[in-house]
Amino acid sequence: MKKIMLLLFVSCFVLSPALGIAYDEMEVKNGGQIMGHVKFTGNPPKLASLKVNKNEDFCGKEKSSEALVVGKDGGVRFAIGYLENIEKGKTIERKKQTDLNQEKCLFAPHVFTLVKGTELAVLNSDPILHNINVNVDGIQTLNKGQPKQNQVVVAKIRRMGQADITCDSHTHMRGYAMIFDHPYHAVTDETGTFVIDNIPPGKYTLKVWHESWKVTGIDDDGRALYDKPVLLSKEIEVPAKGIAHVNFELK
Amino acid sequence: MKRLLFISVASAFILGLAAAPTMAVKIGLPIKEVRTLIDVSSVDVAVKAGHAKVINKVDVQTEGGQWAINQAKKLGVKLSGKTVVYDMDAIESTQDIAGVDFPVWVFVPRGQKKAYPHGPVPGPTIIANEGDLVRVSLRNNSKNNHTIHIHGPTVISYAHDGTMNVAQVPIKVDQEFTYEFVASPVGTHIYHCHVNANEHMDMGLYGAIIIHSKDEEKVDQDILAILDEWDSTFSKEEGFAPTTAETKQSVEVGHPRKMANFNLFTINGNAWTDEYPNVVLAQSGQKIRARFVNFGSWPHNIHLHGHTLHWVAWDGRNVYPYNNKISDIDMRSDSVSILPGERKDYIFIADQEGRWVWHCHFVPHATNDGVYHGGLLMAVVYLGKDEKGNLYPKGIDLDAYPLGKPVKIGEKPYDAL
Repeated sequence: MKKIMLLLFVSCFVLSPALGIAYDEMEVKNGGQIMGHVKFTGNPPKLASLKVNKNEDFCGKEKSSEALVVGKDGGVRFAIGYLENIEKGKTIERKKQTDLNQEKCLFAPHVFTLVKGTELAVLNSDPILHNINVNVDGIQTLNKGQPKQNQVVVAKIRRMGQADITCDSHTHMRGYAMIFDHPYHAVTDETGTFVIDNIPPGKYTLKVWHESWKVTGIDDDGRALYDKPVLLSKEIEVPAKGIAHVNFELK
Repeated sequence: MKRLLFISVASAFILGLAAAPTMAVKIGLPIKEVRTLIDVSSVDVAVKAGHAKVINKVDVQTEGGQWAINQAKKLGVKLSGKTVVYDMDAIESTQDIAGVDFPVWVFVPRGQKKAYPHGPVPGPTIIANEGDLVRVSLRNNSKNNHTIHIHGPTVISYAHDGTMNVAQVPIKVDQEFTYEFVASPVGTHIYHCHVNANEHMDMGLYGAIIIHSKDEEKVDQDILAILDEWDSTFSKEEGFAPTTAETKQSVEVGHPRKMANFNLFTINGNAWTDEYPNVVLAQSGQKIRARFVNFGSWPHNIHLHGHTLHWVAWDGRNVYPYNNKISDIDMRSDSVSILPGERKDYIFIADQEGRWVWHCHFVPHATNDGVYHGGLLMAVVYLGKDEKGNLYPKGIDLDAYPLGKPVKIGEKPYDAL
């Protein structure tokens, strides 16, 4: 058994050099578009409200859960559509700042995407102490207090992966981001629709991520724990100057 | 720190074959790959890696090489009767330093494009035995002019020294040049581009040369750590695009580096992050030779916790009184203090157990852009042996090496006897 353990351990070093694809920017000619739609199949569960543990006078005693937001037509808000392992494509807007607001004791937006190496600007709109704690794939990447109203924290996010965003002061507050090294990703709107444009024509793997709404427990701080995120995948072809329509179902 | 090391190494073990892809969903554990130091124990290592081939005769192909052979005979350097060949390309690529993508110019084994998750800096290590004829053939497949300066070996013609417009005309795009020298003196040396060196070295055009001797002290591990600094001003995220032949030949000054505002620090091209920690895997009782090279522009002082370092060589020459066997009268320390361009070799006995850190004590260099911990940081992690002598990663066994735990003031130590 221990031999196997060592082999597994060493195999990390031996095999991993094959990993890794750097994204190269180029001019995209005849770029196509993906229009994705994420729909909930069946009756969406009614999620329990989240109890506020602090500053109830300002935040209220409880907040509605944003873990699963389903529109009238079944469209799922706050899912992320993205291309996997794309090596070349449109230019990244590196000067574009992604804004996140701690507003009325919620993160707004609840889910967003950004490109590695770009700036995240976090505003505290509330007249109470908040904290911004960003963990990317389990690694703390940003952790700063925001004691003053209208205080802004700006940081470059240089890790790729799933960012879990929390406020240490308020256990009900939770947001998510996905960080990519390319610009081909988008979050679904109220109708469950996401659009990714200016894609070099060709075949791709399109993925959809959703945070999951199934509560599995509560941690020591009283923060709800959720099941692992939902990840869906489809092989698609993006036509030159055309639109690839792709549907995903959550259930 | 110990918690961090445990998490890092344990995660490496647990993940094993399932190393994470470039864009992964949350996997619950931080580590994606452990970066061990470069093994430079023998020429065979380079041959097996596909970087070198050995010819069992003195296969000289250039006038410079013939001059070096004649010079070796004059100096009394005994030829081994072998030729070690390194075919390289100069290419343009990308290096990921703690999540910051840098455009780089690099030496790579012939035909290689992109091989590593972080990028190809440093270049392949040239390993030879004393008295070998070493041939380095460089093809320029990049968009700039380059050379290779052989830094350290002395049995070499001036025409193969690689200094721009002093020893040779720079190698232009789609040209090649063959360097030949006789491997001497024994020790740790370096090579780098000498065209606009303040720019080209900073772009990543460098590597190490290791010359072994039959007389050198036998060790259980012979490993290499190349230190460097990076300035994110010259990264993709700042929109930096290096000079190319389309804009300006780099035989003129392209993007000269003044004393840059370095904010990222690497060991063998890797800044410590929790996803990609630098690790030395040790077994109790092992004798380990660690060769340090400073390819940056700033001094460093790399402190190893809990061990004694014997300083055995400086720029490829033994340090008095060391004479190929460590002893109590050697120059000893617990830190590697090293200036730009220097090479320093240390031998230490792995006489501990558990997990130990080895980090730059210019502490801002042990950060990634000012965020502790990161940069010039390594972990020495001890492996164990079971009753049958099989190795296993004891260092990740929390029961074997429990973390120290503070207690309230006045209470007995948690591990009180």
